[in-house]
Amino acid sequence: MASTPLSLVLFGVAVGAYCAALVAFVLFLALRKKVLGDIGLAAVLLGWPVQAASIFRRALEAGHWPLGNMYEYSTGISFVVVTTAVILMVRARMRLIGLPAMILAIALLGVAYMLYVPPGELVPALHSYWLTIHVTAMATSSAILSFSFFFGMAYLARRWADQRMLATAAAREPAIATVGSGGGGVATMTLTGGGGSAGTGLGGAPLNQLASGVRKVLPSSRSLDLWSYRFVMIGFPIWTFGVICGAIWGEHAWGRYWGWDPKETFAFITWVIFAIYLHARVTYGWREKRAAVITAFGFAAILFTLYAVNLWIAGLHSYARA
Amino acid sequence: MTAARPALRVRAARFWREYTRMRTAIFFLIGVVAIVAVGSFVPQAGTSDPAKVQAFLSNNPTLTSVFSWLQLPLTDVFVSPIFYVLLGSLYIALGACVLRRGRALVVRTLKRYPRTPQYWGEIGSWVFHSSLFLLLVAVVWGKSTGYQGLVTLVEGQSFTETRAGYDQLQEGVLFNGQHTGFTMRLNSFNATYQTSGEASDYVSNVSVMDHGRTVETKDIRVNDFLGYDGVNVYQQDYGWAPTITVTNPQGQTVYSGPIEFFDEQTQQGNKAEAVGVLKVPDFDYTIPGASQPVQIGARIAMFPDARVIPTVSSGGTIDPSLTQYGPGGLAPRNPVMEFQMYVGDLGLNNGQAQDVNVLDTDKMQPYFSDAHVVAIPLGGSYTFAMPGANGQQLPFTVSFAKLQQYSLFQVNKDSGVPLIYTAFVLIMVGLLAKLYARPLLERRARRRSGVIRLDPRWTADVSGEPESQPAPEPAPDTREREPV
Repeated sequence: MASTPLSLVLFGVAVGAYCAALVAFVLFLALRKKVLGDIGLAAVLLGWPVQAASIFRRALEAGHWPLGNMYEYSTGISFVVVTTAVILMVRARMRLIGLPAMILAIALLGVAYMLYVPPGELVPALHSYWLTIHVTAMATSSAILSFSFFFGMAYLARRWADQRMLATAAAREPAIATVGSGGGGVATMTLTGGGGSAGTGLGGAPLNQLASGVRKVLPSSRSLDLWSYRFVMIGFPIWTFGVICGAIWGEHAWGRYWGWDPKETFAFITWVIFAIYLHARVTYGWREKRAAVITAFGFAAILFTLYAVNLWIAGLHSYARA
Repeated sequence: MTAARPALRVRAARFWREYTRMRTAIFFLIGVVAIVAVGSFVPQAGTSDPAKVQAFLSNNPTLTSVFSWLQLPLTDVFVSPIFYVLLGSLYIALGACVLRRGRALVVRTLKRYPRTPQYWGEIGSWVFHSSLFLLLVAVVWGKSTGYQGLVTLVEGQSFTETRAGYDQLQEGVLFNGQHTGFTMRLNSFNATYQTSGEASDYVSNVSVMDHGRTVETKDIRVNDFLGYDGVNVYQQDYGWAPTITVTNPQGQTVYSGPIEFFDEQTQQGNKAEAVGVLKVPDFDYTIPGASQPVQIGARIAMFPDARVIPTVSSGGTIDPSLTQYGPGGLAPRNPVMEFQMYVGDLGLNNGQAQDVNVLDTDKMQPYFSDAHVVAIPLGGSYTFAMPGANGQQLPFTVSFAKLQQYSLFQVNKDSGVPLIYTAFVLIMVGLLAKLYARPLLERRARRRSGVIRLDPRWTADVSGEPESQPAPEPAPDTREREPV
């Protein structure tokens, strides 16, 4: 058996650093000690250049842009995920985003390892500069759009916690219910008010504790919603660009710009889901909870576009199976 | 009658208003996602292997019956009426939106209202949405005025770009019938492989002849097509094309030519083993006593680099007549064909078109009753026997004369492509303007006014909100009625 390539050794080191960071972030969430968040960040900052070196080294070993198969592609996406998380943690001082980012990055790297192939030549279909443009755009936007899902879910958690606290307060002191505060609105408050008063009887206390914990950990729901939107705002045009480049490449290589190949189809589905998100944000009744839920569908669609199509459904894009 | 009219008009107006709302568009989009998702999970009749489609249907009887009970498409999603109805509905709503917003923008522009950041965002949004129309027009125009076909050429063969020149051709409904008439010759084909057996490159060297002279010689690869006279030629697939010669009992050569072989059904892309079918309808020999001439056919497997599997006979010695062959390498180092010969009626006269790659053995008998397979190496031949008069056996031979490769090309004419690329550019420009014009311009305005000192990088209220002022209550949005 050939010796392990240097790129794979560096890959292992990066995964180790990210795992350490994940542990630190979990403890940070549980104990809320600032130093734990900093330790997590430090571990990420240690792993990040190692992963960058691994990707660079892999490109040299393979002799092509390192996005030519599923190992390289997964690795590339996780690298963008980590990079985005680093920027958020350093510049926006959001330590907690490291937690979902590390979970996703490690999962992606795990899948990459499962689909590992030694560095090698590309299949003829990938002999094109469009590989660099199209696949890089898809990898980048996949990673960026994932963050809109993270923030979307955080938004839902914070929103739930806010409503829970309001409902509890309303149950204790009904007069406060007339003060319309926060994004929930009066109608929602009356609805959850009933649940809240019931909750105070059985199992309410732990949930209330959880809600107050969520409120301490997460920023305001409005800011989380905006962050979610921001990542769609960045990721959606890149996804659009990537799909367009894919169409042009398809026209160059196969003589058709669109063929409803499973991978193309799922890229289209993902695109439409985020288009729905953008429309939902300016539609009454859709802009709050539903918009956030849509990001979850979007994330699921990204994962499907990424893996399901290559691994389960055969199509023209199946050459990237290995 | 006249009394009902205003009510109907009111109802129609209400329907139209409801129909062109953003909320409706969202439901249409969800519908499109749902139906398209079915199309990506279920193998589709047009694009997938028919056997795979059939296998899916028989493996999922419940799903199949539920879908057929609901009258929903399953294996023909992208050509189903419901798909087109959804897409059409979406486009009608989109059209209404583009017209309404376009008119508002024209008014705003003509009346010289102040150019707010929101105005530029609106322009971007309008450009984006109307480019989707341009895209639709370009796709429909290109497909209906163009054509696409498939051409197979064995090394040395030529093809003339006319209707008759194609193996398969689909012309658009508005195509004017004017093919270009140039000739393309496949000079040579070359495939190279990695050690793993996967192709690392395959190249067709072709020459284009027009009006009797060679105008271009080019290597066509997967990512390097030939464009000539508005027609594009793409490398699609390739395979082995052994030349087989058949001589009948009278000693006449009744068949001679290359036959295109295909990848084994279960091993697509593997060129170490190829399968093909020989059909000789004009064998030109009648067995004495028979009412009509006999025809011959064969199922053939071909290994370009056959691995020899020696078989030891019962006596303990290696019996060359029992030697079997299997797939080896990819280079034509030791080409061997394995024949399964059939004799009888090929079934070509029942008026139905027959697949050249399938041997219909309904009215045929295997030459060897034990389905024995005959191996013929390149350059070799095998002599079979046909019953003659008075119990005589008359010889006829099959020989493996030559081994070449063929190349499969897709040929397209699609004049919509430049327009599609234009739509792509406009989509990107419009989308970026829609998403970024307002936040960027507002930020610049705020910075200039200097009223609020904001961290330019990470402020929470930069952009993207439907309202630039924080809205504490979910008041009905003014933009709610703007469709799409």
